[in-house]
Amino acid sequence: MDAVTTTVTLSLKEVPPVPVEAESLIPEQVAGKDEAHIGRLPLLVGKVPETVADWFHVSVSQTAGTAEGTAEGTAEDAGHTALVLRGDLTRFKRLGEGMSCGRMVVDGPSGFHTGARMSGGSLIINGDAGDFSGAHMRGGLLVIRGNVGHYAAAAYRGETKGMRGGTLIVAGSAGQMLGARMRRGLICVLGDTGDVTGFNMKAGTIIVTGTSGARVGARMVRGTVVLLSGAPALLPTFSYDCTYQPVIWTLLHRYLAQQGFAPVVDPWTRFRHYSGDANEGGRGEVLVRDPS
Amino acid sequence: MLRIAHGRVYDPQHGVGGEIRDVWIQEGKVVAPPAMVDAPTIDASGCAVMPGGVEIHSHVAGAKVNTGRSICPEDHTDHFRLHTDVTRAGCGYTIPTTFMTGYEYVRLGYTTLFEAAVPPLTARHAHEELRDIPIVDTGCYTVMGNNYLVLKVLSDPDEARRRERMRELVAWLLQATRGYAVKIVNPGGVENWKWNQDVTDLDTAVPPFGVTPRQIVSGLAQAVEELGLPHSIHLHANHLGEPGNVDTTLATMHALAGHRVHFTHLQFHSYDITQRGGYASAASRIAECVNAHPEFTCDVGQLVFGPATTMTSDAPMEFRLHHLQKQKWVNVDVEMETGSGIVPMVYRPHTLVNAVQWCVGLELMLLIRDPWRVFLTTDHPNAGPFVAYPLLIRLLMDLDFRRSWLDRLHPQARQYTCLHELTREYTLEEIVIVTRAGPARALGLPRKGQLGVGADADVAVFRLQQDWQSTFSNPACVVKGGKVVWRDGEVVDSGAGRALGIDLAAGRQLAPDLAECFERYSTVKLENYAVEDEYVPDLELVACR
Amino acid sequence: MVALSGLLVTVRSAKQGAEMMVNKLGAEYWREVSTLRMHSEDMHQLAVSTGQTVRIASSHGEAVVSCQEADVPRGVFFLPLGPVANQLFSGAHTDGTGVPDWKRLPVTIERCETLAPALPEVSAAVAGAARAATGESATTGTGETVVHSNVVCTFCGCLCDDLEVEVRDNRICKVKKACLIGRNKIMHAQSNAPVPSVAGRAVTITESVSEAARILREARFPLVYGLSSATTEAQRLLIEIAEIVGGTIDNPSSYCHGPGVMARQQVGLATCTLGEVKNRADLIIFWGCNPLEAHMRHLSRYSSQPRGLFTPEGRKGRRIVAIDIRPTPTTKAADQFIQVEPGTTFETATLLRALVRGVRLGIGDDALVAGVPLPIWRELAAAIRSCKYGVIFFGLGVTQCRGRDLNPEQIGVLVREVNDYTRFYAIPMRGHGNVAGANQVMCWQTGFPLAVNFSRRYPRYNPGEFSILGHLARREVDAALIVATDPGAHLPQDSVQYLREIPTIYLEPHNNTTTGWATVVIPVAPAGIAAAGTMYRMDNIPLRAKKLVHSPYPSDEEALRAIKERLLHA
Repeated sequence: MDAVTTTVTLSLKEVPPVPVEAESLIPEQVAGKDEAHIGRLPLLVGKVPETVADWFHVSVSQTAGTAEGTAEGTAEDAGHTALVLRGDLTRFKRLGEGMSCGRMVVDGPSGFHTGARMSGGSLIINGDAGDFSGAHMRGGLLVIRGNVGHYAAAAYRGETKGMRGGTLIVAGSAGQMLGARMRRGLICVLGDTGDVTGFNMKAGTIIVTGTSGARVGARMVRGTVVLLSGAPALLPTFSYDCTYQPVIWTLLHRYLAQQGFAPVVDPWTRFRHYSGDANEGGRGEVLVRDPS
Repeated sequence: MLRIAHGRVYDPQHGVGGEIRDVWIQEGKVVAPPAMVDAPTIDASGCAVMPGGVEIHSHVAGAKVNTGRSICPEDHTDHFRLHTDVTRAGCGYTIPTTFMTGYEYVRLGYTTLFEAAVPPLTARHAHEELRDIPIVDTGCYTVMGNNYLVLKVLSDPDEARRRERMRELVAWLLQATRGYAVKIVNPGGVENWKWNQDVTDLDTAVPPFGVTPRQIVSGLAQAVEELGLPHSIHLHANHLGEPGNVDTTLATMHALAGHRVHFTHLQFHSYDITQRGGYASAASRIAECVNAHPEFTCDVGQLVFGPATTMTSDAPMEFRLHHLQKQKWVNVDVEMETGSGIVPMVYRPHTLVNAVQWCVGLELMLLIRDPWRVFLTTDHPNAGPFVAYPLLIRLLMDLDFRRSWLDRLHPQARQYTCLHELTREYTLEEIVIVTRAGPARALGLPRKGQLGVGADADVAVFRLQQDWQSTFSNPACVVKGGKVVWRDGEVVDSGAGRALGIDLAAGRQLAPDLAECFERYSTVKLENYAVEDEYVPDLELVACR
Repeated sequence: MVALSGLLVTVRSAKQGAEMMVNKLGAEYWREVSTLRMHSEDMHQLAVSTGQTVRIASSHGEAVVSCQEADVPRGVFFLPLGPVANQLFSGAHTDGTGVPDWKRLPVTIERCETLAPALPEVSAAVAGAARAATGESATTGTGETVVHSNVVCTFCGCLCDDLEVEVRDNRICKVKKACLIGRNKIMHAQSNAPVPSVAGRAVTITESVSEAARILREARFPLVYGLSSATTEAQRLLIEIAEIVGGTIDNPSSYCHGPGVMARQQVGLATCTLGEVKNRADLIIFWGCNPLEAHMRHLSRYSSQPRGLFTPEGRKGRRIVAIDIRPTPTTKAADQFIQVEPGTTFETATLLRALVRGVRLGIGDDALVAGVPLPIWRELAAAIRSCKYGVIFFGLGVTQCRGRDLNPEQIGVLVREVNDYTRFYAIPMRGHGNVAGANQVMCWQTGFPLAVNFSRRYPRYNPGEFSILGHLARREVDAALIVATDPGAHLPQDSVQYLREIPTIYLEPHNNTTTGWATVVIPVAPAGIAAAGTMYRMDNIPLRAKKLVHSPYPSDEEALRAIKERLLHA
């Protein structure tokens, strides 16, 4: 991770009465710009185009010894920029959408499409995040310390493949359709998940520490779902194979520990291995922690 | 009055091939230059001035097109138009919404557009959508090649009675659907599909009457000729898309020799089969046959690399395609009439089959010698989106450009095609013929595709740029019905176009035995079947021959 | 006090449909939608008998209803959809889809000391003060009787087009060939029109149009909603208005058959028109639907009785299977009734896919799926593979069941896979007369069938985000134009509550549960009765509904055109 030299802080003045589309709020868009310039970035408030300055107090601070930004905005490396948003941003959609580098933090809840299509950098939500957060992620790290809504890291309507890379970590719970149609990447939820976790996965890994809803792995083609809190009934097209200690779990445990999210489960835990969904070829797997 | 001045005018119908002259317009028509009049003038210096484009085959309106839109939201997300004071919003790349369709065609200099396939039962829907395609004049073709009543009449052993009943039935169906031409799609094959039968050749007996595709195409071709319809039968032959289908296509052509026939998206019907069952180009064999039969016209259905959406009444073909693609698939069987299918596709130059298909289309365009009988289409959106026309025009006109594309193809494509040997380059005049003058003539539209006195004032003005693709991508100006509708890169006037129909004698009736059959086995009442006047306001009727 | 826990399922009933067409504010309608069907043992446990009242509560609200013994599973309770049931639902609980848990809401039931459900109070609380019924159409006074034949009924997705309607002196006096619901709709079409009003004050139509335009012009995030009983001609204007005001446009399929539409976006759909069913189908599966109460002529016109071209034996040549969670008139008319546990549509479709293709199962032969033994499913799978032309008709029991759009997605894949063996299709049982048309018009003009937003001046789509219930739950919209639907009766109570807080413009031919509180009410001529226009059948066949009588009020199309002109040129 690049050293942060510039921190841009946006503090919400008041909660808007209508939804706001805020896809301009990513590190790349604020990098190298001064406060006035950042204040002019566009926001769509309901259907009315407004600006960041209309809704946020803007402040830019440099780490000691580094050059200041200019009114024009130089081509500074956005990888050294941290963008911090403060306030109740539940109505703000598309925060961090498509970001590719840099560090972004939301101190508060965020809305729909948080971090959707992001390809790099890190986005931390210190609160709940809305539906479709992390949709079509391609890279980077998305951490949601609260709960995330439905369709997290899922595919949008009509698409057959969703998340392609990166890591999503949810400290709270997730709704239904977590990681739907994903084809690569890692998702870890420390709380519970709703129904159809890993729906129609093409590949990738999902770990659920709490309880998961019904129909885990429905229509999965390949990929791995790891359930640490026992087994809900799986669909009739999932077959039990064996009970064993999978190496992948040891490696995943180590990786999550490095991120600071070690699940409270032994790295050498044994799992019951189920193959499915047989309707889609049966090459996916659901690992259910063995209670014994 | 409006004057388009100083342009190089291309009006092949009247032998005008680039001379600098003015085009005068009054009350929606081209008029002779007046003696001394001061009129608003469009300065077309340095521009080519030609009639508005005539799209002879495209899938833009109706039930299956809309089902295509509904199942492919991902086609719409990245291609859209904003709502403005003059234009409605829209979206879609391979299946644009209706408003967007009109604006995008106008952006290419087209002013007349035909929807290629409408089942009678959903004709009302097609007309509703055509009314929502702005600016351009529109019409549609009525599918008849798997129609139960048509098959029933064709099964009549008494030839004279059969021919008379066919004429009456075809006329009634066209009038009821406000169709402009008789469309035939996989004759007999769609009906066979409903019986879970796989293969339909020209002489397959199709249930329930045992009528063959040969009888269907011959019977309909005869009826169309006897009625003197302005356009010939518009034929999508059996075995579309299958390797080796050249034999079926040639057999169909021979069966119809001497009859006016328009063979549509001929590229999809021009394949030889390799030893391992793969695709090879049979374009030279097909072109030879077309060249030898002046009564045939065709449109190419040229492949465009990138996303496409196949949609056709040829339900069994789409089912086969679905098995190759393994993605979304739509099928709709339409009672007593036809079917339809949809499969989204992506064509890639390094996929051998697609590379061969791409060569086949261009070979047909280059090997068929008479530009008045071969027309440029992409069977939109089956082989590709119509917005690719400027690219295709450059491929036809610019040999170096074509060769640069050949280099991108799968290396083995050369073994199965001959495109790399062809050096012909289309002239601008020939392009004008294959995109305007030729289709208008084949359709029997006397006032389209030409700029003589009395012609509809549909004019496209293209500023000549560094390459033909750039030239045809952005007209300087487009005039429709005497009004400037496109200027300086945008739509400036968005009124409604006209509906184009045929002038058949009014009051066509369905024969009593067929009416009884209809009432008993259809699920709509006969009285509610025919498309009412409200769906075709501003209707212009074209006379029969 | 004994409290019973279980699942509430909302359903249509013939009486609910019939009474809805007579008077949405009448006692008969309210009585029917306040009648809870329960198993006799459950009632016994609560110490109540038929006709007595119980209080039913969910985590979102409660209602007082009267119970009726019925042949239903234990622990599952059935209430007709409508304003009473909606007291229990929340538009915020849709799992991100925009579709509430209409078919499986956890509830508790207790005996209640009220003697009867408080009908007048409930109706007042939900509907607001009822307006005086005026608007009787002027008579022509000539005494002549006109018989309109081949009339298109606009109530449900069957769009029967063989009705006969007698009109005398501009009043409809007789309807033949329609089902009970259709007949009621047409016979009562001319009565009970609302008064044009703004904030409860009677005004002229012109004033109401002005106020409507003003409200829409000033909104920052407006909503246009409804469409499903309007003609396509009116629907096109609604889309245009939504585009002009940069708002969201949505229709009731959003929480009904929208899941089927969404499923098509993932897997497509293999289907056919109703005449193919009549002429070819030898296997019919009614799945999660009850046409004998909701599409009452469906079996006689299309799917069960008719002798078709290649089905000369009619009913005898067809095998009819009904899959449902309780017995209904439809299950009784079927050859085989497979009674499944609530919430198991997805498991059933998953299993059938596997059985049809002989795919490996992880369950033993003695297992139950959806509460049904495996041999029954095996036999059905075999029948599916070996039929000549099979059709699944699916209803809200599939689309609103747990999993929502994933249910028709899995069924869609099943249908696709069976086509490797034979012809096999699925048709959704669309409820309203032109909800299929709403999806069609929205698709051809905007690219998407529902939940479309124009805030950025071009159409964008996302169920949940731009669904009406999502917008209302998040309190995002600040004005609403509503046409051809009755949200007061059919949306969850919290959604209705929010609508009542913002300015609303309502076009509607009859007084109902919304006319009492909408800010601007504009009476309009009922479509297919006093205004002609196009409607789409459940299988997407378009028909032209006729104009049978004159109305003193504008059609939807005319009223919307006037609003649009005011918006553009005021």
